[in-house]
Amino acid sequence: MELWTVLVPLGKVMAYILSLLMVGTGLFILHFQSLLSPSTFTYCQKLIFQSSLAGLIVAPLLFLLVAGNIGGDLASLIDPLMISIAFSSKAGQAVLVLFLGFLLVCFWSYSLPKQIWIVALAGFSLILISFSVYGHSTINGYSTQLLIVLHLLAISYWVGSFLPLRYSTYRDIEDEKLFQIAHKFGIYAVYYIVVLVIAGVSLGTVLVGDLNGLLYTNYGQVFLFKLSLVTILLGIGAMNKFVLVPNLQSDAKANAVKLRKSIGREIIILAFILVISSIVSTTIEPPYK
Amino acid sequence: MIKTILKTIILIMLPVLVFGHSPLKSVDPIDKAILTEAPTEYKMIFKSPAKLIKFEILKQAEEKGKKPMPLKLNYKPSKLWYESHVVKLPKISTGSYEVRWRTMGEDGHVIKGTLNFEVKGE
Repeated sequence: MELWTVLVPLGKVMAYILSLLMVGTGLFILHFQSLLSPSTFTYCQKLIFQSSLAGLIVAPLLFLLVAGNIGGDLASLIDPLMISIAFSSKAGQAVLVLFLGFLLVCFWSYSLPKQIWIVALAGFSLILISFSVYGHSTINGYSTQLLIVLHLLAISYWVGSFLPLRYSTYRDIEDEKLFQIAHKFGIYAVYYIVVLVIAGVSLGTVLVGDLNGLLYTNYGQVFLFKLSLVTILLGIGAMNKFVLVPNLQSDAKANAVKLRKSIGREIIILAFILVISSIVSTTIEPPYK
Repeated sequence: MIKTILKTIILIMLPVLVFGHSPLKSVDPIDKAILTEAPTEYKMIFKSPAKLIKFEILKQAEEKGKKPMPLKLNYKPSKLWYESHVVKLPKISTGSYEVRWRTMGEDGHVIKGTLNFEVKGE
């Protein structure tokens, strides 16, 4: 196993985390702006700015990793020939789109009036699209590319809620905003999960093919493993929606702590799902060929 | 706890990490071929168009413990996508050879591999 088999998926995980965190926090503001306390709103804005800034560092590094992976040795990281091949490759172009997305959001977040949402939306769109530019999602052209964008959009709604919701468990208990936010989040989540599952299963069906592909290929088995983690995550989400959030009305403080712990567990599981997704999308050949 | 989970995930993923893509349709000389005549070129045909980024040929040392010697090639990475790649080889003497290659497929994935052949002479 060579260095790039680990470094490229690792770079992609970083890109995934920052992208989903940023897009998701943007969605969180869009959906719940009227309910957010000033401190939570500022926290969300900070999250977006810091994620975009980190993205501006991670994206160029990921581009160098693409060049290194193409050449296969450390010298390739800065070899002009490998860098020029990286520029012409879909993997490299995807990173450039990602970088542009981070740049737009960072610019919006730092120096533009926040009412100009169109700039942020353009940045968010570029970031989501960048993950559909190359790899297995391109096999059926625009249809699978659209599926991956929808899939990531739905995941980002979920991911982006983790930190602001967790933050709210410390701040907004007294004025009951936490209950309102969490309750509304659960209602929207149903729609996003429907999109997440439909897009994920459709994409999985295209890539895995049939039951044999699912059970007897590396790709299928890893896909199943990922699916089981997603099921656990959905289970925790359901517990939050149907047990913890309603209980916030009766005993806000105690249940806010439980909700915080539950979100912590979701974050850990999601981190694994993202690690698996980046390995699947960079290293393992799906059985569709 | 995180360490345990990380170890578990690495253990689960390791077997799949070492399984790479296998994009080759055919090669000439074929893998592990034993030839009576030295080849003058090496032909690789891929299942789908690819850029051949790296192509190295190394002569295995006859003495144990010695490193294989890379042969000097007049080869440049391909800038266009081709299914078929032909690399001109320098004069090859009898011995065992290892071919190391690295390609990038149209889907952006980088794939590598090694092939072997032996020239035994008449």
